[in-house]
Amino acid sequence: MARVDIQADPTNLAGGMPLPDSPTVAVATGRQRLVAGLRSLGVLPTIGLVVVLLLVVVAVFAPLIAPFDATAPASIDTLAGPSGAHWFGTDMYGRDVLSRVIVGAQVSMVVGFAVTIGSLVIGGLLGLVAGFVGGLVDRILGQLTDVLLAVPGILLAIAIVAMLGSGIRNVCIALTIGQIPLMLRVVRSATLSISQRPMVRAARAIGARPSRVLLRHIAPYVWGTAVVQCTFTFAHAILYEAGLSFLGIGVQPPEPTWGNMVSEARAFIGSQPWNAIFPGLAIVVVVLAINLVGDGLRDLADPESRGRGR
Amino acid sequence: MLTGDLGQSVRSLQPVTSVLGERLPVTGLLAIGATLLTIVVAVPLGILAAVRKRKFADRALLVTSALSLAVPSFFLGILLLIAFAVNLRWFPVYGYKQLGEGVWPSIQGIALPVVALAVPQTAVVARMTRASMLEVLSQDYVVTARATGLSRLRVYYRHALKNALIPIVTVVGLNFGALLGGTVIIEQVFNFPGLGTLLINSVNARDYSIIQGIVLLFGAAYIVINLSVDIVYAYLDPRVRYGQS
Amino acid sequence: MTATVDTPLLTVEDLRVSFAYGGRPVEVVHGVDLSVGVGESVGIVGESGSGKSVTGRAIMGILPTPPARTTAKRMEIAGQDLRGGGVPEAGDGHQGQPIAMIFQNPFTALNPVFRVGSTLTEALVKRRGMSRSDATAEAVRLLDRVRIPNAKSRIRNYPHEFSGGMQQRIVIALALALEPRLLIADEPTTALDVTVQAEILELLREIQTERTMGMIFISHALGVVAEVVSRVNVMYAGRIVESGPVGSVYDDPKHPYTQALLLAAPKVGQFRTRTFGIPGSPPDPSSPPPGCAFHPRCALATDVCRDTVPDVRPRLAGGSGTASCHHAGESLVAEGATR
Ligand SMILES: Nc1ncnc2c1ncn2[C@@H]1O[C@H](COP(=O)(O)OP(=O)(O)O)[C@@H](O)[C@H]1O
Ligand SMILES: [Mg+2]
Repeated sequence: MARVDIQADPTNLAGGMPLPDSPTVAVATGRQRLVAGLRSLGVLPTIGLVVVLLLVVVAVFAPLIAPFDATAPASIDTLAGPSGAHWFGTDMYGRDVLSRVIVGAQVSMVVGFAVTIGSLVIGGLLGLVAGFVGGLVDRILGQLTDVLLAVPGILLAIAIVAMLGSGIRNVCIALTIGQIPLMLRVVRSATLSISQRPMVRAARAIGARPSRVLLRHIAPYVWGTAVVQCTFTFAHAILYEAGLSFLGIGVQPPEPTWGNMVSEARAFIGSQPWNAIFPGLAIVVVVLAINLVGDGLRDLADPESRGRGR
Repeated sequence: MLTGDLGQSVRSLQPVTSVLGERLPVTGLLAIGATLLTIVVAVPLGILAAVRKRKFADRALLVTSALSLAVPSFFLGILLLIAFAVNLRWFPVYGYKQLGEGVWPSIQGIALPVVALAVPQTAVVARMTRASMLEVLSQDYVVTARATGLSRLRVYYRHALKNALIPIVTVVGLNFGALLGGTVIIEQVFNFPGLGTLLINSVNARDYSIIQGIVLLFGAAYIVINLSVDIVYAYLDPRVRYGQS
Repeated sequence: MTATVDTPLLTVEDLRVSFAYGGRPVEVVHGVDLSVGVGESVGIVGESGSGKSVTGRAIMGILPTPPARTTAKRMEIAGQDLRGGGVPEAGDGHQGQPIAMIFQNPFTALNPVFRVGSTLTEALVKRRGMSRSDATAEAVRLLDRVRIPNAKSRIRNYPHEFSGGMQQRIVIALALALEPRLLIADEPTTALDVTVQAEILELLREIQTERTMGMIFISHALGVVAEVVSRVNVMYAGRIVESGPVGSVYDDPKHPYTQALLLAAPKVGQFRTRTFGIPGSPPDPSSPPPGCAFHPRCALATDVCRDTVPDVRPRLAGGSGTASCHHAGESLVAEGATR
């Protein structure tokens, strides 16, 4: 989904102004730095960050945390509502929905990280090159980007999965291909605007090696923009994976994912709506948390507020 | 391919174009309905938020739009079904069956999928409208209009909105792709036999010529919509109409 | 252009404007007194940020409230109270509007998406109660009056199809469409070329005389103000620090700020070709200095200036005009220089 750049609303920050990188911060202890960093991030983004980190922990230790087996059918008590034994109820095979939601976090996190890293590396590098080199390379990449972006994201993913086959690896590949053009665009335009700065132009003019200019003078500034885009990529990846799994062409049952859980629960919304609601809410919570982090980072990376610190 | 011949479906052996043609009206209806609903709801909401900046309406819009961008469309569709079809029974579970059985049943039948499609669009367009209106309201010509003694409503809706619409139209156009993507999922949720359902069936049947046809069709629709956006631009902004002279 | 102060058109007493963005309100206009006679032209001069535009907009009733808050002991035009806020309506069954305003930047003052004719006729229909066809005819007449060539066909053009000077003429026509008794012109020539400036000033003078219209002419350029007004108010940091007939204020400035302004600008009557400026900068309204606001930049400042705000006192015994300075009349030039 395209995102709109809305004006940074200072009331969102709650924690106040972003901190300039002043010497006091530089010599502060690790803990003080963390506190200062979080304060400049603001309350809501910090909550988002905590939620995301918690989910990563849940995903890593899922088998240990999950109270029941997530995949083996347990014939008694099918389609039960929330109870003391089964907080989120049970599904049509009598499996514990909470356990399945916990294990399902694994797929979401793996896909989220894989797609984010993949599109950051590929899209980020291509974007740097396109913005820095310009000319024919830039034009070709620009046109490829335009073509890919003319096809709705979910449709592109479906078409690629249709060619490659379903399964978590192919889902990651398909979603990465869809996210690369967005990352490329963002990094390219940041590179372009930074290349115009007098400092960079001077470095190029006195004959510094292009690789050095790119790494020393451009990459550190593009990095902030790229990280913000990464949060959106992460959210997109989770939403699209859930969508593909819901459509039955992503990660296949019995391996639980939030998307295929909602899909399986769809037939029973008349008798047991909770089966669909819990995995769906899990998606909402993660995506909301990531978006909050992204908005917070974007406010921090805003060139105007950053300029004040220098 | 370039002549408009997309080949044959390997499964039904019908020409791809005619298979797509059969399904197009359903998807078109959903997409157009959702676009209209989006505009009708999002633009006034965005204006309200801009005019009442930092007040309750503004905050409420910010929170709900952030929330609705985090809800996957299939989940939103299912929540709507649970609430309004299963529990309240205001709308049918299989809405498609009611299409063409009179005006009211048709509207009832299509309402839930259209709403599910429109919600995330509304969030984006309302935020854009807010940002765009805020920008325009600080312009000198708005002050001139106020100094001419024109009423607030007239200044907002006639003088400011026409300028603010320019970026809004862009966002509606750019988001049309996302909307088409949304139909694929929403058709599945609500069992509408449109292009999205056809697509998923074709993926499962490995009917590649159909898949290719749908991808091309959606890509073409996106391009056509964005060309129309350029035409609307020219209508809205006289500086575009005559070129930068 | 000659003063008839004994029949006041506009009277403003103790006008105060503050802005509040959530926190403590910041007052930027601190008790301004102003009067304009029927058909009289009065100037407000001062550096950028001294509160001239805010004063003009407060009288016009177009400050955004909130954040702005306007209070005054008296603020009335021809007996009509302006303190209710909002753009004043014409009283007793008259059409139009008692006050109209024109702005600094003609390039942004007209709505780019409307034909200039449509902007004019809208005002005529809505504010003068004309029919559409009458309004169109009147719009052509107004454009003719402000010397837009081929007004009849130009009425169908968009603002960007006119030069800056032409756009300012159209803005003036829009103001005239309201048949105002007072025109507030906020730096109407600042954004224009020197030759175009002269034409616009000439046009404003003509119209003002022909309609016996009062005018408040705001500018940071002393020379420009001297061309069009009979009385001048010098504004600094939200206060009128000196006022009086333009000739005597310019020939014999009593306030050190006025003296500094005159020193910093070329001779009266010439257009400024170079900007000299006064050393230092005006105070930040959110943390004004104690005492006289000008004291940090004033070569004559003494202890009393640092802790007491000077009263408004007559410039000359028995003469008209005021000056608010503990050292009014002492000459800055005699002291050697500004700091
Ligand atoms: N909308 C506003 N909100 C807050 N402060 C304002 C606003 N408009 C003007 N000010 C402040 O009021 C003071 C006077 O501004 P202004 O009247 O525009 O000065 P000028 O004499 O240049 O016309 C300035 O300090 C300015 O920052
Ligand atoms: Mg001003």
